Amino acid sequence: MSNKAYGKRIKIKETILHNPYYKTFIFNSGIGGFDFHFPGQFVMVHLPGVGEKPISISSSEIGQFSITVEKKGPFTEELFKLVKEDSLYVRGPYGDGHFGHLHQPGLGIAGGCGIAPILAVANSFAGCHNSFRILYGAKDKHHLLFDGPEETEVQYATDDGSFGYHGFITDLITKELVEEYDQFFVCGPEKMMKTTAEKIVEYGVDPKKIELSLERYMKCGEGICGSCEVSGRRICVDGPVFNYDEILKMPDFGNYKRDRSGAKAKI
Amino acid sequence: MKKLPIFPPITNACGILSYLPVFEYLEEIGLKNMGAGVSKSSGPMEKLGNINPTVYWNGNVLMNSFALPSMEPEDFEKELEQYGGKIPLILSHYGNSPEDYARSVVRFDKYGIGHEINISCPNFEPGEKSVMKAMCNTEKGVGVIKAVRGVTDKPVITKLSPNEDYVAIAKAVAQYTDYIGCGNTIGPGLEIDPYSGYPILTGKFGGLSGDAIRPITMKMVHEIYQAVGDEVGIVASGGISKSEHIISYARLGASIFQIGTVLRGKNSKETVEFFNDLWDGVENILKELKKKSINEIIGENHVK
Repeated sequence: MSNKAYGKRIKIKETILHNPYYKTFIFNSGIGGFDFHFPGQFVMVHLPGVGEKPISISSSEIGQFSITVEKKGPFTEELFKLVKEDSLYVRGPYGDGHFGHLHQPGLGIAGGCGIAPILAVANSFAGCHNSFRILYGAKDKHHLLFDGPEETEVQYATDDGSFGYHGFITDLITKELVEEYDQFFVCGPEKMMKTTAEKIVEYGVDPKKIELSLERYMKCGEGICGSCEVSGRRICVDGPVFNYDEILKMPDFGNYKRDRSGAKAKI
Repeated sequence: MKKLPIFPPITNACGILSYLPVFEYLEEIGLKNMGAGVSKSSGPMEKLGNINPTVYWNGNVLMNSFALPSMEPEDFEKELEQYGGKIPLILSHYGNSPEDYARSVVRFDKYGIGHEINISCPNFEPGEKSVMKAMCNTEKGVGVIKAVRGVTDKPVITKLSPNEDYVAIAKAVAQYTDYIGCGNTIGPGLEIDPYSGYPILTGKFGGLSGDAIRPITMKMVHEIYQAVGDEVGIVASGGISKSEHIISYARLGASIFQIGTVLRGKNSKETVEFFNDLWDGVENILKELKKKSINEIIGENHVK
């Protein structure tokens, strides 16, 4: 783990505005020590005077990395205003628990802004010969991102039926589909991930082969404050990606999260 | 003076790792050499603490301004009730008045083997009147520790700040406390973003910690030992990152050692390895020095 990582000011190389809610920011790596990063890892993005948030890396290409952000609060609203050549501070990459095992056919399952690290997985798969497919759900077509790697097959679902399947993305997980794949990469709302993992296991898959990316209120990002702990695992250093067999030993998963004060609240 | 029954005499520093499930999990995966766990400071009411950035590593020193995030005492009590770990707990408290501290100590007394009384946090939220600034002086400090002494028979650590007149406060509280904690973060300091002019930390100022501050805490331990070393024990927390540092602190008079900033970036497995190796290293050095126990060197420097 890069425990000497500290905030580096880096310039935005390019931006892609996918829709009013999603924007991707591309940076050159090699500037901030981001030469080695893995799908599922995250960075702490700092806008002076505004705040700092953990954000997933959404592509892991050689020479560059990107983040893909959903606009949903004051911080991301400010971030959205930034354009090519603007600068921001980034520290990381963080997360010893990241997505792995790209040596077998993989299925990515994403809900909402959980698509970001799944795109990073898709990117890694694009460089190898194994097949990769994404099941991607969002509330409506305006919240969908259509800019994944070309060679990746994507099946869409929306809550309101405005694009793709009308209903939850988890409805698209069938026994036939699951049997085509050997590795499963999941990121989205915790309830959705829980349903997803349970369904895949029901179809006979070893929980070890399912990887889930967790999210919590995070402060330091470096394992010292403990505020992002889930059943004792500090997700900034031990995660954010965990195998489902490990998650089965984490009773907080799908049930509790800590807020800013550290108090546990029902999810 | 009542001794804290912990072995090895190593704990986390308050606020670092401090959630109880973290202790349980580290124990589950093999943590042996952390004699006790210090809980996050608990106060009279819920406190949100600062928003991010709450930490800043400038390449040489860590700055933090978490500003004591803490849950409602009711919620903390629930967590204490659920705690299933074998690692004993030292309970840390903060407050706005001697009564706040005493109430917190009484409420949680049965859950721990002792108490750490935090009258030294240098951080606060914007607009918040620093509670600690008011507490960490001789008169107020004595008031707090006297109140706490009146309600518990368990060992009490009074955690002092290196930023105040700690020798005077230590002398004043020595008869009511079992240990003096040396110390909290230094400063607080300030770093600003040269491009925008904004402070980097949302809390503007932040306490400094890590290897860079160890010489200051060493001096504090040295001075506290000379002032009150025959009346109280000393807890050292400041830049401990190697077994050697524990030996040096022990020579200066410390008998309990707290670990903080060095844990930056360490995942749970690495954290466990670090603690376990740390005490093994201490025992190896003691062997080399032909000492049977660390107790043989505590304060040794002062007779030289």
